[in-house]
Parts: sequence; structure tokens; C-alpha cells
Amino acid sequence: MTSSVASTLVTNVGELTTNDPTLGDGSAQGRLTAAAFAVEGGRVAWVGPADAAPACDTRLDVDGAAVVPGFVDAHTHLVFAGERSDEFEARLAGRPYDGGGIARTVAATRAASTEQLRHGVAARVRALRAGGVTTLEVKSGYELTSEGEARDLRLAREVTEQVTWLGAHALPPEFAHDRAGYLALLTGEMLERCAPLARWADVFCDVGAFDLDETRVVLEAARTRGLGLRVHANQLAHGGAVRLAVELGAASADHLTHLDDDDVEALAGSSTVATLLPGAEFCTRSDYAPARRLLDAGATVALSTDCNPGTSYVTSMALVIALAVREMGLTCDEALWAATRGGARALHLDDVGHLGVGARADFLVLDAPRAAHLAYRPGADLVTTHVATIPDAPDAPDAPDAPDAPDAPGARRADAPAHPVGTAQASRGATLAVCDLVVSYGDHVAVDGIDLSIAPGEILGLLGPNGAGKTSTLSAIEGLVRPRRGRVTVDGIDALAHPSVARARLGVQLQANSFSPELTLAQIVRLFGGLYGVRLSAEEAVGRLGEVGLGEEAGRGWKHLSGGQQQRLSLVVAMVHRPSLLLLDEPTAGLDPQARRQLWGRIDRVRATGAGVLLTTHSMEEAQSVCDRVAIIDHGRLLAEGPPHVLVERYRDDERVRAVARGAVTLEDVFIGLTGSDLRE
Amino acid sequence: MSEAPATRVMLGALVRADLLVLLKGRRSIVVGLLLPLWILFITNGHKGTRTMGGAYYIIGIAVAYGLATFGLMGYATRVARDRDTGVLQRLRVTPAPAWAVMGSRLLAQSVANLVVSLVVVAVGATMHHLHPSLGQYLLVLLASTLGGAVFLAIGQAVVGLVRSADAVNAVGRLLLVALIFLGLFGASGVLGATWESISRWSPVGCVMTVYAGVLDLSAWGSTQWLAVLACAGYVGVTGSLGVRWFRWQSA
Repeated sequence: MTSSVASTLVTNVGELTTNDPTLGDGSAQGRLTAAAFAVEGGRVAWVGPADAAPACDTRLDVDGAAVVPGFVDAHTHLVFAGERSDEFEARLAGRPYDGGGIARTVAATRAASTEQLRHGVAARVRALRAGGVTTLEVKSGYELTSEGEARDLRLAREVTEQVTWLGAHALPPEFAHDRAGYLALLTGEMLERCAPLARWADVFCDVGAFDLDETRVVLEAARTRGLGLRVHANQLAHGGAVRLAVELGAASADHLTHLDDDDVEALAGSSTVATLLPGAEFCTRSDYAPARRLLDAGATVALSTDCNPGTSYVTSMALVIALAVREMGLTCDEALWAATRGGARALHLDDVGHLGVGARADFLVLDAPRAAHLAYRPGADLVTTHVATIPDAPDAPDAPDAPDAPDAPGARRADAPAHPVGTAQASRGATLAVCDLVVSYGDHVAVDGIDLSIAPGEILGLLGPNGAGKTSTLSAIEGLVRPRRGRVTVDGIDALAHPSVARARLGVQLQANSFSPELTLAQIVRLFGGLYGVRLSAEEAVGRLGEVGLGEEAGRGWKHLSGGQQQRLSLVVAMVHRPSLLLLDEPTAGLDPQARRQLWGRIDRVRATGAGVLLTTHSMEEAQSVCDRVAIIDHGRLLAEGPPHVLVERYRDDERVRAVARGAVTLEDVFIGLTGSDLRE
Repeated sequence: MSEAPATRVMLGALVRADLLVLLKGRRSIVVGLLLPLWILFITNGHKGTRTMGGAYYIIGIAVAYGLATFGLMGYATRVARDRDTGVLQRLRVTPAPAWAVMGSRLLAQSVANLVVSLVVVAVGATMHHLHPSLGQYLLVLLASTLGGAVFLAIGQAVVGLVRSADAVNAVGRLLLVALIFLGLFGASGVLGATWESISRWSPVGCVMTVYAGVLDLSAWGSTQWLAVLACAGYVGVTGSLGVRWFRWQSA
């Protein structure tokens, strides 16, 4: 490996399952023996025989163990409070029991504090991670109010990007006699509130839940808000849910316990993934889904835990694999593929679930010579080492009064160690996490419940018209204003509780930077170095200025600089301490195209150091060119979030966007479509 | 959790920068010195000195005016300017606590106050043929600290209660002129006993009394102690107003 990025060679792999058919034996599992693979920048850079491995900076010898891709759990309900073990006990004992089902969990979840819920989510994520899950989806669905569902989605976003709004999980008690009213809430206020927080929408379409017409209405409304679709289908009885999912182009139809031939054929002929949840059937002693028929027909199958407090309090993907093999007729290889690449397909992710070149280096080292041991030794803790892409669960304080249950039987202890590997990325904790942020000035609410997160090395563009709440959001992150509500975490530090410590990790470029006119550039750099604990000599300060072409100006005052030079100085000052997170408030305003391009290049280099960047801008060109993701806000609320091209794709057919587009839809069309054409301020 | 940089390091960087700003703003130092030296010059005769209560009082007036100029025209206007232009806001988004940002400015200004006081006292003593002892010079430093604090606190109150830099500048000039006239004409008795009394207990009058007492220790008595207390009161009241109402951003 010749790149400047540190690389790690994972070698002496007894059996390597890549799930990349272009590698190894050419099977779907892309299997190699006596293999090695190189990891660089958190991604797989090379795969091949161990004796042909390239030189790397560090080396991990796994001593002949099997290595598989990290599990992708595409169906979980982790945000809940309470437990229903009595219901489980009664059900399996054959005793009649009506403990309340979902409604009971809804009541407990509504009654729980956010901190209690966070504590529960963190415990379950740790259990899943310990069992080898490296990517997971999390659904809401246990509060069934606009505010509550939004709260659950925010909690889910703290642990994954794959967040699903499941407001249509059940009819809440207050709407027991008003289905139409709840449907109106779902497709109106609740969707409005939840769509910006979720990537997916799901409906429990089954007897006793939502019928086909209702499901269609909710899913179509969600689709117009840019959400991808998923369906809980045919778990309790046969119905038309599977075909509806296929018709609407859902990414996944889940459960599928009761299928007829038409359903199987529909799934096989579509891109909708059949996500099977044998944990639910195991825990409810029900028939298993016809996995064999689905596979034989050509459908894409995924396996997931369905972790929830009622029907499948399972946090072990290894158990799910064992059930799929023992009870559903899958081969060990098919089950492993379904639990990895199948799950990735169900989430429309291309770079997880496999270990081909370019994939995220999310892998598990097993305490076994072959992957088949996952099914062969049910109940054994085989995952000895993993590299996870799920962020670390938030460090929730102990909540002894939380109405919560202990970890599910069979799960690893939450504190089970997971050993990060060499220089590879062990976890992707967010550099910035903003949760439910509310900022107000008197009666005026400038920021109303915004959630944001930035991963290391990621650039997030915050877009919005004048007065949308961008600068107020930045001000709250910087500690200049005290939010009325919410959490801001910078590099794991609670910025509201420890503002100075958090600011020490921030590099800031304000919209209107200003320095004392009496100081020279070198003195300014030395001053700010000192404020961040970096003692710079006069020569070192001049050297820093030289990096941006200002070395010769070091003895001048900043007022004598051009606009572009002032921006460069601001960037030097913001970066004087190598921050984890760079906040740039309209950094290119007033710059000519050359200066703008140069600044973009510098921002890109900052990103390459692993710092996250949050930038506000009015330039859609800038957002599209520079940002990995953009978040569009207006009136203090988050309207949409995602990579620029994904937003364009998502809102291409949105009526509001189509109405303003001239030709091919651009990010600017999406922006104006969502925020309106009226002039502001 | 690793901590923010040490306060000592941050404060050191701030004080160094603020001293540099003061040094480079030589004009304000010259203006701050001109008025007291001019007073010393025009009263450099027995008649003028006697009218104003003697050489010790003349030096006290000169120092008090110098400190008032620094506090109202130097400190307050600089803080207001930096607030208007965003210099303070830029410092606030660093790990440095707010008290360190303001404390460093006060500290740098206090150093300048001490230097100016010593220069004025030394020049005044030479012109009036006085021979203060080393102990008296040390007491001058103490008095300068107190006197400087009075006018810095008033300056803080002005910059706290008035939001824009231009308005702070105007209010500072008006206040300075008012204090000068109150000190000059009130203390001379030409405005009558009431104004003389008001003048004596005004900030300028109190600082002047303290200086005169320090330079003529034989005359130190209850009046001087009361002046010290009054100075402390001015610091407490105006300083509290200034801190309570201070805003980091201009309107």
C-alpha cells in the first residue's frame, strides 16, 4: 500500500467469506482460503491469497480463523420501554393471556423519559454489536403520537442512519374508535414531523393492524415526502400486503410467514427483498416463513432479528442464522449471505454486507475455522473481533428507574469487549450529534427540534433561506446561545454541560470574522493558538500562514487583506489546533470564483484529516460540489436531509419541486420546492 | 474526557495580545497623558496651586483625569468597537471563558493605568518640587489601582448600558467632560459650597482626595478613608451595572 493513509493487513485467514462472486471460488460467497485482505481508510483495499499480500503499515494475524462480513440487521424495533416476558411465558405455556400486546409497550414507552429510552437503546445496540451486527435499521412505532414518534426517531438516529418511521404500527388507544382520524394524523402532522428524521417508512399491514387501503394511503404519502418504503407483510395471516409492497416498489417486505405462490412469484420477480425474521416465529412458536420456496423461486432473502419486546426479544444474529438453517431449510452459506448481503440489499446499501474491494471494512473474526460454525454451534459466542460501522451507543447514564428489561436471553453481555483492529476504523462515533435542538429568542422560535449528525471526515451542508435558523443552529453548537431544549455533543462531549471542553474541539469561522486591527496576522495566529493551548513561536505562526500563501503578509494587519486573504486567515485560525469539527458559516460569501475554488480545496483537505465539517451556504453549487450530505431547514425545522444526488432523486417527482424545476431537477429546485419561492427578510 | 486548554495558557495569550493592542494604540496613551500633563503645566504657579488646594491636590486631579480618560475613552470605546466589529464574538467561540476575555482587557488597561499614574506623579512632583519617598510611590501604585478600577468600572457601565460603539464614544466624551468640569470648577469653589461638596464626592473628587492623601501622608485622615470607601462603592455599583447589562453583541 503506497498511499499516505495508514493500512492494515488482516492475514492468515483460514476461510474468508467476501460475498463478492468475483473473488475466490466464484460462488455467491466469494470464498477464499489461506487468505488475507488489506484495509485502508476504513475500506477494503485488496483481497487475495495471504502469500501474495501487499505490505501494509500494520498487520493482524487471525491465526487461521474464519472471517465473514459484519451482520446487517435490517429490521429492529429498539426504541421501547418495558418488557413483556409474562406474555411470552403465558403464550408458550398455552395459557390464555391478554397482557395488552403492543399497546402495553406503547404505554410504557410514552411514560418513559428520553434518557430512559436512550439507556435502553444503548443496551440493545451494545448487545447487537457484541453479536456481530455492524449495520442496523431501527424503527419507531411505540409512541404513536407526532411528538413521541419524532422522539423515537431522534433516538434511533443517534445509533444509525437507517431509521424507519413506523407510525402505522398499531392503532393507538385514543384513536380506537377513529381509524380515519388516526390515518389523517399519520399522513398529515405526524408524517410532516417525522419525514425529515427518517429514511424509511413502514406499515404493519395485517389482520388487526392496518388494511391494504390504509397501508397504501400511508405509504404513498410517505413516498411523496421522499421516504423509502418497507412493509410488515403477511405475518399473522395471508393477505395482499406482499403484492402491495411489490407494486409500490418497497425496498423490503418483512415477516412473510403466510405466503401463497402468487406472493412468492411477485417477490421473485421484483427488487423487493424478502426479509425473514425467524426469531419472531421461534418466540411465538409459529410456523416459519417459506424461505426455501422464496430462494428457489429466485427472491432475494434477508435475515434479521426483529428485536422487539413482544414477539422477538432477540439480539443475536447468530441465533437467527442457526434458526434459518435448522428450521427454514437454508444452507449455512445461504443463511450467512441473507444475514449480511441480503440485509444490505434490504437497506439499499452497496458497501456493506460484503468484503469486496471498496466495501466498508466491517468484518467479524470468528472463533472458528469455518463460517458454518455460526449455525453448527448455536448459542456459542463466536464473534471474537469485529470492526463496526454502527456508531457507539450513546453513553447513557444508569437509569435504575427505567421500566426496562435485562438483555435478552442468549445475548452477549452489553459490556462484552469488541476488539478494534489495528488502524481500521473501530467505530464511527459522530463528530457532531445535535438532537431535538430548540432555540428561541423570547417568543420567537428560531430552531424547532432539529437533529443533525456528522461523521468524522464528512461535510454536511446546512441549507436554508435567510432566517431559516442556520446561524442560530451554529450559535447553539458554538455555545453562543443557550438552547431551550435539546442535546449537542461534539466528539462525544456534551457541549451544553462542558462548553469550554467542547469548544476546544471546534474550529470556527464566523459569518463576519473580525480580529483586532492593531494585531498583525502572526500575532493573531499566536493569540488563537494560545486560546486552544497551542503555543506557537513567531516563526511557527508565520509558517502556518505560509501554508495558505499568507507568509509574506505575516507582519500586516488583517484589515489590509483582500476578502479572499481574510477568509484564508480565518481558516488558519479556525484550524490552528487541528479541530475535530469545523464550523463554517457562509465561508465563500463575497469571494470570487478563484478564491472560492481554492477554499473548497482547503475544506476538502481538512476533511481528509478526519475532521467533520458543518458549513452553511446559500450556494447550491457549493453544496453540490463540496458536501457529502446536505440538510435543508426552514422556519427552524429540518425539511430534508441526505446526499445531494439522493435528495434530487428522492424529490424528483415531488409536485412542489416539479413546479419550480426548469428542465432536469437540480438541488436548487429541491431547495426552492421545499422552502417556497417567497422572498425572505 | 480531555479538558480544555489550561486557563493560565489562555489568559497568557489574551493578556499578551491586549498589551500589544494597547501599545500599538499609542494615540490613546498620548491623549491619556496629555490632559494630566497639561493640568500640571497650567497650574505650575503658586497662585493656581493654591486655588486648587495645593500641589498634592493638583497632582491628584491630574492623575484622576488621566485615569478617567483611559477608563472612559480608552477601555470603554475599545470594548464597544470590538463588540461592534465582532472581535469579542470571535473570542467567545474559543475555549476561553468569558471572564478571561474581559479580565485580560481589564488587566492590560490596569497596567497602562499604573504606568501613566507613575509618570504623572513623577512629573508633578518634579514640577512642584516635591520629594515623595519610595513608600509613597508604592502607595501611588495602590491608589492608581483603586482609581483605575473606579474609571474602568464606570467605563464598563457605559459599555454595558449603551449598545453601539458610536453611542458609547459620545456618552464617554460627555461623561468625561462633565467629570472634568465638575472636578475643576467644583473643587475650586467658584460654583458654591453645594457643587464643591458634590465635586469632592464625585469619582474624580474621591480619586483626587486619595492621591492627595497618599502624597501628603501627614494630612491622611477620615476624609481620605471615606474617599477610599466611596471609590470602592463606585467600583461595586458601576461595575455590577456594567457586568449585569453587558451584551457580547451590539444591537
